[in-house]
Amino acid sequence: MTKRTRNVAISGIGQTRHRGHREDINMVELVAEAVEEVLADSKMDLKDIDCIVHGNMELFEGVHQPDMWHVLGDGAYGKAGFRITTGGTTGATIVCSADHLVASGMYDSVLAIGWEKQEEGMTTTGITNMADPLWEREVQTGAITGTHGVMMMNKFGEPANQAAAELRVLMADNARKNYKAHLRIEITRQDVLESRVLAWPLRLLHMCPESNGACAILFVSEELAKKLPQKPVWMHDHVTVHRQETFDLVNMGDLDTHGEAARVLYARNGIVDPIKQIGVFEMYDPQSWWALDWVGKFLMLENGEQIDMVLNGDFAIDGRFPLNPSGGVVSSNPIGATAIIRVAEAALQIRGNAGEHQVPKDVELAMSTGFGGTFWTVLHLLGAEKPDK
Amino acid sequence: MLRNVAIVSAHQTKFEENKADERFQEMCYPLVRRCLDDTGLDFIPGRGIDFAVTCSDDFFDQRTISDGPMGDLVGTGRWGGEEKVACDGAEAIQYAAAGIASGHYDIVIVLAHGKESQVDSRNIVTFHAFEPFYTRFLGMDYTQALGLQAESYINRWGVTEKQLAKVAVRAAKNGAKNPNAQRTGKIKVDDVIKSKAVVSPIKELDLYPVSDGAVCMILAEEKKARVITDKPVWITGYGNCYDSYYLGDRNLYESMSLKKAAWSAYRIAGITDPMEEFDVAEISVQATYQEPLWYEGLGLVEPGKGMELFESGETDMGGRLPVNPSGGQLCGNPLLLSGIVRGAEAFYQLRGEAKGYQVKDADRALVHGTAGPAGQFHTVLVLENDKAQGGVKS
Amino acid sequence: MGTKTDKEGREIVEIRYEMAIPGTFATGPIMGHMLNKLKDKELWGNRCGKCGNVLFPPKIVCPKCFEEPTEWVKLDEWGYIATFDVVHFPTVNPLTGIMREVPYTTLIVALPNGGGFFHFCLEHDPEKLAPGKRVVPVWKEEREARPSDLEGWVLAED
Repeated sequence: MTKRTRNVAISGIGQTRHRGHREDINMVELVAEAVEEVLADSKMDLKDIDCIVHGNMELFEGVHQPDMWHVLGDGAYGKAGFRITTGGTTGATIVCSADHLVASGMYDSVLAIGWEKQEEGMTTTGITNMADPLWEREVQTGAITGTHGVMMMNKFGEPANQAAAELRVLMADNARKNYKAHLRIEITRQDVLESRVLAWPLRLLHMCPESNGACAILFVSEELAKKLPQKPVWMHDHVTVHRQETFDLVNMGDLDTHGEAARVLYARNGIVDPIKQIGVFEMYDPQSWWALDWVGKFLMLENGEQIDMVLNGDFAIDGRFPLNPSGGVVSSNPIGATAIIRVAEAALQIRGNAGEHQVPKDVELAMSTGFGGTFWTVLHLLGAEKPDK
Repeated sequence: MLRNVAIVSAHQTKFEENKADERFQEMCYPLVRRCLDDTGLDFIPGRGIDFAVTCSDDFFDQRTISDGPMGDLVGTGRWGGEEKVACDGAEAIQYAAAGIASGHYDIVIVLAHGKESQVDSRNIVTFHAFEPFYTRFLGMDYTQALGLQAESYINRWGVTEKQLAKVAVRAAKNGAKNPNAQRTGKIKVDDVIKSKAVVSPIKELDLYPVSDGAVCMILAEEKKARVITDKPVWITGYGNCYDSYYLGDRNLYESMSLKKAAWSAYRIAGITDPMEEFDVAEISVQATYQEPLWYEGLGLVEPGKGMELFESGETDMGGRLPVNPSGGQLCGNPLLLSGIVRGAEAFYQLRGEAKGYQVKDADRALVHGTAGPAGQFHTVLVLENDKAQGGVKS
Repeated sequence: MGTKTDKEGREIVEIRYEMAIPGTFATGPIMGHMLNKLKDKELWGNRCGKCGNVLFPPKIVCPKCFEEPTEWVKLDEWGYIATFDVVHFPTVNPLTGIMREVPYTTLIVALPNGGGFFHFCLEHDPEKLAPGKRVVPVWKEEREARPSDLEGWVLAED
């Protein structure tokens, strides 16, 4: 188990500029923008791509089986394809899918496309719809909750509040260097702390936006990667950890899929000191309080050390452990694409061509996560070198 | 596929028009138990089931992330993982096989469910599969798409409604022997012709009925498969393909995507003459006209000769290549499920476990699933038992 | 609303829709029994025979143990606030299509013998609420075996 059958490389990346409003195009055209970019980036001809993996959350846009319509934009006409959808983790899952499909030998090239035309639906209502209609749906309010913030405040006090705000400022600073990001705002810690309360202590500026966007990544076999111009980024490993359908909300520790995924991934890949060994981490951060909590869990920090790390600037692009140089989910969130954007951004960092938001060092290993469902985590490990088989 | 993968267990519910007394969980849980009992497996990554692939539709379920409720049933309550295929069940089988062949997992459980009865009208759901700028204003839905394709097919090849009715008669007849089939029995051509008109030329008995049900399967890599069962069913060929979306962009009386999917699967399995080399076929027929049309797409016969093949008796029970000994989707399987029901049926056939409707010496099976409007997307799988050609191909 | 135009100055055409897919959810014997008991103003969960946890809402299988619960358990008629949220952000209830009125308060109520679950808090003043405070349920006058039979929770009188 988890002995990779053959190597898989990322040889092409494309993403749209994520925006709040894209009324100028329909969803198929949105997907096509990302596909055009990945084809240009990889120099691969569409006719040579074997298979398309397509994912989003269909109840947002109200289109049933959108992969059928989207053959017009994703190039799947006449090709093999898979539709894989797992809620917020979809983007990360379709990367797992593409990895499986190439590693297995089934296909030599797979194009994974995640997308969401978020403005064409009601996001929070769509998310509320994931609750059981027989009990929770009546009460659920999408993903807008302050409970994690309350927990962190109870545990760490005001420094947590400051750190969550500071983390948000860092994300904004990074996003301004990433022209693909949606929210590219200039804010201060004070702005965050004074923004409108959504569900205390969660404030407007802590929360991710609703974005329209698409992201496509081309996965190829080792042989094919040799023929393509971009530096290959190698798929090392991934872990998917889910939880119960309705968890015991009182025992919060039970939700730690982040820590569990990290433990499994690190053990399998010889990572004993993630802060030293992982060069960059693109973490799925739908809101700053969750981000503050989860980065600690992924880094196996038990006493809130990440709070000091934030306040010391360790997570900055030129810091000890760069976190979300892209600006993160809190800057761009086209849900079906969000998790694949994390993989794309991690891959760009390894390649060294992320542009203005490139971390100023050689990145050997990068990690990215997807989040969604009932606290599910999908964790990816990518490398500049091929994994040891 | 660089690793050999087998199906080692498969169970399905009886399909019914309205399982009013069961949620998805009640339909699925007993099947998971039966698969675990068969195989002696538990949800322990590394020493049991490593992962789960589910198959369901958020629209039909009226639930965002419709795999959510399935998690508890497939071990994710114990930190396991799961991924959903939101397309026909045959694709879910192929996808689970990819996960194993990739080396990432050794044993994967596949759980598919659907309840067409939950929504007041399945046509309102599939209406939403049509784009909102033009086709929705025409009031299109998948049933109407079937009607357009049926008209196109019968006009192109001069097939009559009476001939198509025979497809329904045989499906019901075969299904009567299958304890899980929903709508079966002794019907006559006249019954089909006189049944309520749905969308010309399709009448009620020409069309698969509204249906609820679920299927569970376990797939395993070779070594573990041989420990779990002495009758593994190998996936030796696979292929799927998308056709164009707008119905006017293709000739509905033929199927490029089925042909491509089929020949991909045949090529991988080393098959050159499907009519000759398969012992049994389970194909997804949503409306009677699809039987002869899919025969042509699958390369069992040349274009235009599908009805001729059907009428020859060669695809009857006892014929050269029995098609749908289970009765098929025409007896009733919800949208998205037929491909995996077909897979389960082929699994029973290849193990000699299709009691009452067993095809003699069935060693190699053709499995087919379809999705999208008027068969836009097809998946074809080749399944073989150990006897077929003396062993395993991949 | 003004006319929207794209980068080239062409008028953008948008098509509005409202999606309604009517249907009927089956409840099955487990949730069905729990919902029926709401008519009697009672909350019932089921207990896993292996780990002893009471599952509420009741489940077909214990997610931790993968064992079927062995007995029904009537939950206490009071609980503690584990945490609460005063929600200021209005959203549409997907079951009714109606926009929720804000602010409203949700809480996670911890039942002494039944874990914790989300529900509505009918006390809206955050000054009065705190984790650990006792709350009791408020039932609707007319009950129909629906989740809404339980209107919400209020602070227990001392």
